Amino acid sequence: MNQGSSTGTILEIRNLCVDYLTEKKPVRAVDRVNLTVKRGETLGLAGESGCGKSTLAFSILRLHKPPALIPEGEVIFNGEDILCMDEERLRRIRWNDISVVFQSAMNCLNPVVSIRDQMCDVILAHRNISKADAVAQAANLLERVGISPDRMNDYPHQFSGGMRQRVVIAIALALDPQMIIMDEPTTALDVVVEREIMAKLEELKHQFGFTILLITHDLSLLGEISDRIAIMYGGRIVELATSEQVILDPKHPYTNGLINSFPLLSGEKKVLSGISGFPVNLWDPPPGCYFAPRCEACMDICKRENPPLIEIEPGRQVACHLFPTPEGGAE
Amino acid sequence: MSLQPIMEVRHLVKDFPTKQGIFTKQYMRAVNDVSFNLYPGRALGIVGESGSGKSTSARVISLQYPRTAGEILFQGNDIATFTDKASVMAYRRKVQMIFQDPYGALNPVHTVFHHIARPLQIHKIVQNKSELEDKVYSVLEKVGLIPVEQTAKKYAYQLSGGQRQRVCIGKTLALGTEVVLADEPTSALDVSIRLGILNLMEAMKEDFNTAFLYITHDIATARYFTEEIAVMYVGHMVETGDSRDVTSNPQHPYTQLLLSAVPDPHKRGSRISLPEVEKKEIPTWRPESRGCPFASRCPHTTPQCREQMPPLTKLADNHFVRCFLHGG
Ligand SMILES: Nc1ncnc2c1ncn2[C@@H]1O[C@H](COP(=O)(O)OP(=O)(O)OP(=O)(O)O)[C@@H](O)[C@H]1O
Ligand SMILES: Nc1ncnc2c1ncn2[C@@H]1O[C@H](COP(=O)(O)OP(=O)(O)OP(=O)(O)O)[C@@H](O)[C@H]1O
Ligand code: SF4
Ligand SMILES: [Mg+2]
Ligand SMILES: [Mg+2]
Repeated sequence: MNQGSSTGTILEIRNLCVDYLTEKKPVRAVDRVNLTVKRGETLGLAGESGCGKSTLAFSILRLHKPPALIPEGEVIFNGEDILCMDEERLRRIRWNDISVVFQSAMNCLNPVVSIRDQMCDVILAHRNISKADAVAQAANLLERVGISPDRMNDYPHQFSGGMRQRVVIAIALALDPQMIIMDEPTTALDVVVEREIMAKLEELKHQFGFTILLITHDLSLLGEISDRIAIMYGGRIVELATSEQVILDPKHPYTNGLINSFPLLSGEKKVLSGISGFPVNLWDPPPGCYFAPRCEACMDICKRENPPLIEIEPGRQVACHLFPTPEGGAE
Repeated sequence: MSLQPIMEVRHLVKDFPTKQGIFTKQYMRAVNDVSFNLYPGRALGIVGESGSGKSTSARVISLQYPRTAGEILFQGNDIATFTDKASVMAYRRKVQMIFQDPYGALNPVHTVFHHIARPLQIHKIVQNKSELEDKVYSVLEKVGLIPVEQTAKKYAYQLSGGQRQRVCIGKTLALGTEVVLADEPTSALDVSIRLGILNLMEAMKEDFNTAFLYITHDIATARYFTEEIAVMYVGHMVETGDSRDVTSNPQHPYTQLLLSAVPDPHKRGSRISLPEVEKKEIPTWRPESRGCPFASRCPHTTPQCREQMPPLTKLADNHFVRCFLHGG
């Protein structure tokens, strides 16, 4: 059941850091991330491979495993800090309130358990209902994601990749969560299948009103379907704005470079440059702005100081020295 | 087109055995009646969904799989006539494949120098050590792996994905490859460095007159890099033509479906939903299969579509489609 008001903040991540304790030295994969998710929105999180998207997704529900460790930060969900909750409370929040679809989850369905039983297992673990009711609910969920309940007794290998991914989404929806975190839900799939799944998701969202945190490296996809987009680079959020702003008027040079990395299907063919250089090495990051070595607008200060994420206009945040803190304004 | 093709593929067919009984043998037809030309200095993009036969076509051309039927002409000669070791070696040198996974393609315990030098030695392209060094360094420079001396000493495991793909491309340059069969060369790479690889291949078209077959899922990059696009569906080439025509004026119902599915941030909110099809399953093609391969999912299917294979129909100078909606 969705509780609380239909507007406002559902999740607030404050100053979150995640380290991987590797043999050599700790690697900071998520670096002082501040991010507010609004109730009912689709928030996109984009950035290239290794920038910390999955690490962030895991840590929101404390699903991270050693060698990952959260040295500081808060994750406030409906007023409570998830990072300080006891295990019992946390267990109730997972699936019931927030569910996660992991990267390549469709390959993680148990191959020797029928789709029906995998769905019932999740439902029965969290709801005090009879097996028959759970089966009925599973049938209903499959129907929601566009799979005929006749196929319930099938095993994962009898389903195509797209169908398996729908099953994973159906399971994530099973307990009617307020929020779903989806990590690259369609990356391994063909565009036609991706489109079908995204359209279904949008339809379900209208019906049930959940909030989505959608993680992908595909900025074109996010630009089309999310309300706001956060861009991550080297474990840091470097830009946050509405989708239109990010796509049509990006502020951070990295965002700009990313947009210049996706050829379009329409309009004039023009030469695109991508971004020169290579992604930041987190084992040996530069002292100032992580993007400085690849940035065409790089100034002296960029090589020394890490620019904080500041609000440059209402609802719009950028971490770049090209956009200094307004005179007298707070950081 | 007045250009002389370097590679001509005619009615290519490739079957794979599926089930084998004592008296029966079953086959699946991974590639059926595929024809195309590759031209020096130009690229043909092959797009289509997973399992549509894109990689198989390239593997047959690069002699990794024998063909079931059809002709493959390289510089006018059928490659089936290359039976002696010398002509096979020469063909392998001139026609090279590069792959999606630059991690698998390079042995991690060898240096970059070794990876570029080795094929030069095998094919006896250089005479002595100093010539070898010059050649390796000049190749590294051309593919943007600078500073060259430093990069040459690195081991493959010390390189990023984009750098490895540059080494693979460098190998083809070193060999003087004339036809590069690039099978999803950028899909395993970071988004921001994909364009660098595509632009490097673009420069090879211009500077070395290299012919490319560019296999991808990403029709937008195909439009960006190629002159022509062929769309494959279940082993068949359903539409082919000038990249701009195919992407801006798609005529086959599958191409239309594919293009309407591609994410486009500029179509936010205005997207028309995909045509609903009752049966979404993609068929397995067999030698005895009949009809149009898209008939089970097509919104325009007629009884004729289920019975006969539509012929390849010419729509414009360089635009062909295999669909009964357009003649046949
Ligand atoms: N178990 C681990 N031990 C050490 N470092 C790790 C571990 N897992 C991830 N990392 C590092 O943490 C960083 C962030 O990884 P993460 O998987 O969160 O990235 P991502 O943005 O999800 O990438 P992708 O798009 O490839 O999924 C990377 O640099 C990665 O190398
Ligand atoms: N060595 C093989 N033996 C048997 N079947 C094969 C073999 N190689 C490919 N196939 C089959 O042939 C069909 C075409 O495969 P192919 O790899 O050419 O597809 P593709 O278009 O490259 O797909 P993708 O986009 O997923 O790479 C598939 O059904 C595949 O299972
Ligand atoms: S031939 Fe028939 S089934 Fe095939 S694409 Fe054309 S209309 Fe559709
Ligand atoms: Mg990830
Ligand atoms: Mg392939």
